[in-house]
Amino acid sequence: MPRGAKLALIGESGSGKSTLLELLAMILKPSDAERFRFRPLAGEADLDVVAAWRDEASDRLSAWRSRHIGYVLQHGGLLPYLTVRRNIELSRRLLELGGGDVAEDLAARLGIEQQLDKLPAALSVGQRQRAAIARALAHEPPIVIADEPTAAIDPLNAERITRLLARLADELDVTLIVASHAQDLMRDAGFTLLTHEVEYADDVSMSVCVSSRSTAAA
Amino acid sequence: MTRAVTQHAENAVEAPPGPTPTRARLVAGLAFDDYRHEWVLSGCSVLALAAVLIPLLVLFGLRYGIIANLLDPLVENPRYREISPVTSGHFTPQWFETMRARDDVAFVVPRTRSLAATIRVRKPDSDVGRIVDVELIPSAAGDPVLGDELEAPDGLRTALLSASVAERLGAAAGDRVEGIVTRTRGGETETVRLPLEVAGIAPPAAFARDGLFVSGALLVAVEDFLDGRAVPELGWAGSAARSADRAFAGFRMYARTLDDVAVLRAHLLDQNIDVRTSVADISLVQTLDRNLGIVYWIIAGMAIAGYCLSFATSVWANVDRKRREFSVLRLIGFRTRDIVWFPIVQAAFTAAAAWVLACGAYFAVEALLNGLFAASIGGGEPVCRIRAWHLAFALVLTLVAATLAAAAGGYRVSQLEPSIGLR
Repeated sequence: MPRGAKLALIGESGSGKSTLLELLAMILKPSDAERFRFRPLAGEADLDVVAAWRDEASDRLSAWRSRHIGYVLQHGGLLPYLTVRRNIELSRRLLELGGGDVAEDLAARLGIEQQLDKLPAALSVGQRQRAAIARALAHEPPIVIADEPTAAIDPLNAERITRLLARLADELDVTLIVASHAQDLMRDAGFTLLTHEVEYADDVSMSVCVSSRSTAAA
Repeated sequence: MTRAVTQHAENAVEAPPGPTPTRARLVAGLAFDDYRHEWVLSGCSVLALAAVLIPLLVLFGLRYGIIANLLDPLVENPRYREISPVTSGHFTPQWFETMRARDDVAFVVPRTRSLAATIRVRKPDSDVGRIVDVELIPSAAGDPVLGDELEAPDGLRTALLSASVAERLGAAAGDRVEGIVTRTRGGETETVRLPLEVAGIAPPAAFARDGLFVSGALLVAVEDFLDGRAVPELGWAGSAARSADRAFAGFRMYARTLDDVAVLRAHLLDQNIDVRTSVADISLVQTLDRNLGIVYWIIAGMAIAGYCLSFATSVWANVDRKRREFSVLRLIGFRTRDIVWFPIVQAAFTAAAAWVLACGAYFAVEALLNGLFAASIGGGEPVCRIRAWHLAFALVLTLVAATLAAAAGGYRVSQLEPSIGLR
């Protein structure tokens, strides 16, 4: 997929979307993989993800993930013992990047600048998801993956957040891959919709085949 | 918002094998934030460890105090390091040189025959007119009995009195006393006077008998006189003097430390020299020390092992409970080898805090025990004592035990599957 695309993976919960996203985020090991071409930076060589899994080089995968992937979980995934500010900055600190304003900028864009010095427990669910999005974007990754980021939020807030996410992705030239069950919302926000078929080879393994819906983005 | 250009190393480069200092600080900082956030749980952990440490420290202090109270008198009084021959022998100057060269000999001087080493002494200008039989004791620089403050007797005119003699004669340092030596030569009884200046009084604890500490030369002079020889330096007539290279009938020897007493005794017995030592008293205390030590470490070992087991299980359970947080860290891109340190770092916090608490409690208990037993057991000495390096060793031991037990948690972290933890 091209850089800057916005893809929405549509399907009901439990239909294997999470599995696919985790494979893409290089956090779940494929039992059988032929090809995984990942070129985060234009003009450079592909990352050989298949080889990394085969060699069990989890450190290499972690390094790639820390630089190239931002992940938004359905339920925040903020560390309860860090303030919102430090949660957002965490992805940057891991990469030893400086720039203390990034957290504030993103928080302002996402409307949570008042919550920066609070612990996550003091925030509403919507605010926590905005913070999670900020963290996923803070270290400027080329790709952001979100697993049903607005599923636990009321529809009005969900729409607002989804549009914010899309707008930020456009500005920052980030490729978005979002799993969701709300097709209309995603379409209206400018996402290309994809469905997937799940094939159960046997009890244990499943293979996921993604195909594009004929409905293009508006 | 402009996109800053962030240049990273090439895709194919591996991250550095161990945690970089910044990465280590980051992980340690996160571990501390988590530890502080759950302060109630962390506090209970600290209290649990302190509860194990305090009785172990107190027991150690009691054992150390009791042994020290038994051992200190032996160490401080040189009498316990004295080694004396039982019978007369034949000791050459070469033998004395060899013994002096040994590391475990603190002091050794020749001694004459015991019969030739007793004279009578009186204080001339005293109105009491008492005359005391005293033993002449050879002394020299470095005599352990005299200690650091008293000068050893030098020459033929000075002597130090033992405390009992000084008291009987009523003499003090600086006074003049007179020795009276009598011999029979050619059927005639001859008596000479020996004027001596009192250079000091020997401490009573170190020497309990009636004695006069004199130089080796004076002792030899008296022996020569009693053998009928002349002593020109003192103006005593007699037959020709013996050659300087003479053998002696005995020796006065002190070992350097208490442990050296047994070693020297064995060495001398090997040379067929039968000696009298305090080795029985010393080994009594040393055996007690060793036995108490064995008992203590058995108890301490069981306590530490039991604690480590319970701590390891609680760390394991904690890691399980925080499965999601660890999975999130992995998702953000922390390596396994970085976050396995999480529980171990937290265990170190617990160990350090518990040690501080335990030390404080120990000193409180120590004061209590010493106050309670001041009159009875200790006999004036504190019954419970501890040294700074004991406490430092306890800290190291606690840190090692806690972090090793927490390694179980570290292992559990490494086994976590992030995708499962995130659900």
